[in-house]
Amino acid sequence: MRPLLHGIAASVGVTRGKVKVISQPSDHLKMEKGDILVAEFTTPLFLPAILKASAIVTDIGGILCHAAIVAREYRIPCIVGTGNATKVLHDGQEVQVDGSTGILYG
Amino acid sequence: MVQRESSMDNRLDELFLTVANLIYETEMAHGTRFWPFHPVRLHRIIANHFFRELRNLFLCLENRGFSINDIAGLFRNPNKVADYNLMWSSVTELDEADMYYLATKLIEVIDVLRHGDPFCRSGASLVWSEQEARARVEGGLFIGVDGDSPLAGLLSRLEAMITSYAELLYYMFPGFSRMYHGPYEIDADKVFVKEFYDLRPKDLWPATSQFPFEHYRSIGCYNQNAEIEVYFIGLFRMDMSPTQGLKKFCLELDEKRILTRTELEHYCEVAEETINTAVADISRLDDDVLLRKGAEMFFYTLKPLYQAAGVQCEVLPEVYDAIAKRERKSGGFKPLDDLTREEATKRLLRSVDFRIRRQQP
Repeated sequence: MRPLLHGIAASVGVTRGKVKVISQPSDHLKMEKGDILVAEFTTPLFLPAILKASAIVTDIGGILCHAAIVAREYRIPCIVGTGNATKVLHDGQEVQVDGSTGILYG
Repeated sequence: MVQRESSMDNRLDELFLTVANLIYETEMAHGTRFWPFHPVRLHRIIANHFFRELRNLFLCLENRGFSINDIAGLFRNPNKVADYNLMWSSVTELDEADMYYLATKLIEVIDVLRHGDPFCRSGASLVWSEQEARARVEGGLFIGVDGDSPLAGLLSRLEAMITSYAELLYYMFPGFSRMYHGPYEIDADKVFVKEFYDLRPKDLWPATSQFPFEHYRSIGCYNQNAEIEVYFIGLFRMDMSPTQGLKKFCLELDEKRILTRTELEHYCEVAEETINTAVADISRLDDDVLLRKGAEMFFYTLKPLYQAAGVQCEVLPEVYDAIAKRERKSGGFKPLDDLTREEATKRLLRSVDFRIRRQQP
C-alpha cells in the first residue's frame, strides 16, 4: 500500500477497512461494522455511523474537533484535516488508517 | 470611558487569545459550511439576549449579597462558563462597560472554580483542592484494571457513549454537562476525573426522565508517566488511549457505586439504546424546533442562578422572535481556509475581543 492522504494524527492506532463516504447522518445505514467513516466533518448526529466505524477520516478539523474527540473516546484511529478525503476516496475502497502518523494508505 | 485595571486587561488579553485559538482548533469557524445548526449560527441569534440576561443575573445576585465564590458555586462547572466565552464574537449590542463587566465576572468565576488557574496554563483543571482529591481517592471503592484491558475498554466505551449522549442533549456544547478535571498528583498516581451533570434535563428534553442516572463520575488513577493535558473549555488530550496506563478506577452513578463488570455492561447497553433513540428523535425535529431547543438549552444552564435570584427561568420572548427572523442574520466567520494558523488566529482575535473590535473603523 502507498500513502494516499496526509492529515492531522488525531487518535492513535492503525486499522484497515473499507471506506464509506458519509455526507449526511442518515447515510449511516449504508455503513457496516468495521468500515472506515470518511466525512467532511462530523456532528453529534453522526453517532450511529461512528458506533459502527473502525476509524474516522475527515476533510477538515484540528486535534480538538468533534471527530477527534469522539474517536479518542471510542479508542479508534482518526485522521482529520486531510483536505479532500471525501473527494479522493470512494465507497468500498480498501485502506489503512494510521492515526498515529496521520497517513492513510491505499 | 470604561474604568479598567491593567491586571484585568491582561487577563482579558489571555481570555480572548485562548478563545480565538480554541475557535480555530475546534473548527467552529468551518461549522456553518457543513451544519446549519452549528453553535456559531445559534450564537448569532441568541448571544446578545443571553449575555444581557447573564449580566442582569450577576448584578441581581451581587445586589442580594452573593459573593463571587457564591456565584461560582451556582455554576459549579468551569467548563460551562468557559463555553459561554466562545460566543464573544456575536455579542455586539451590549455597551462596552457591560461587556467589560461580564468578561471580568466570567473570568473570576472560572478562577474560583479552578483554584487560581482559569486558563489551565498548567495543563490541568484543578476543581478539587489537593486535600479533597486525596480524600476522594482514599475513600473511593476502586476496581483494579492492571492487565485487564477489556474491563478498561468497557469503561472507555461507557464514557464515550455518555459523552455522545451529553452532546445530543446539549447541542454540541457537552461542556454544559461534562466536567473533566485534574490531573491531580496523588502519591505515585495521576488522578483524572470525568463527571457529567444534568443527564436528565426534563425541562429541556422530557424523554430524558427515563435515563438511569443524573450524575456520572469516574475517578481514574493513571501511571505517573501518562501525559494528560486539559484545555480551557475542559477538553483533554492524552498521549495514549484513555485506558492505557489506567491502573484503577472508581465509578459512581448518582449515589450508586459500580463494582462489577456485569453492571458496567448493563449501563453500556442502556446508554447505547438511549442514544440510538435520541438520535432518531432529534433527526425528526425540524429546523425551527432545533433552534428553539438550542436557545432553551442555553437559558436552562442558568437555572441555578435564576433560582438564587428568585426569578422564573424562561427564555425571553425576544429570543423566539430572533429565531423566527433568523434568515436576516448572516452566519458565522469568514472562511479561514487560505490563512496560516497565525493569520487565522489574528483574524479571530479581532472578532472575539470587543476592545479591538471597537477600535476598528
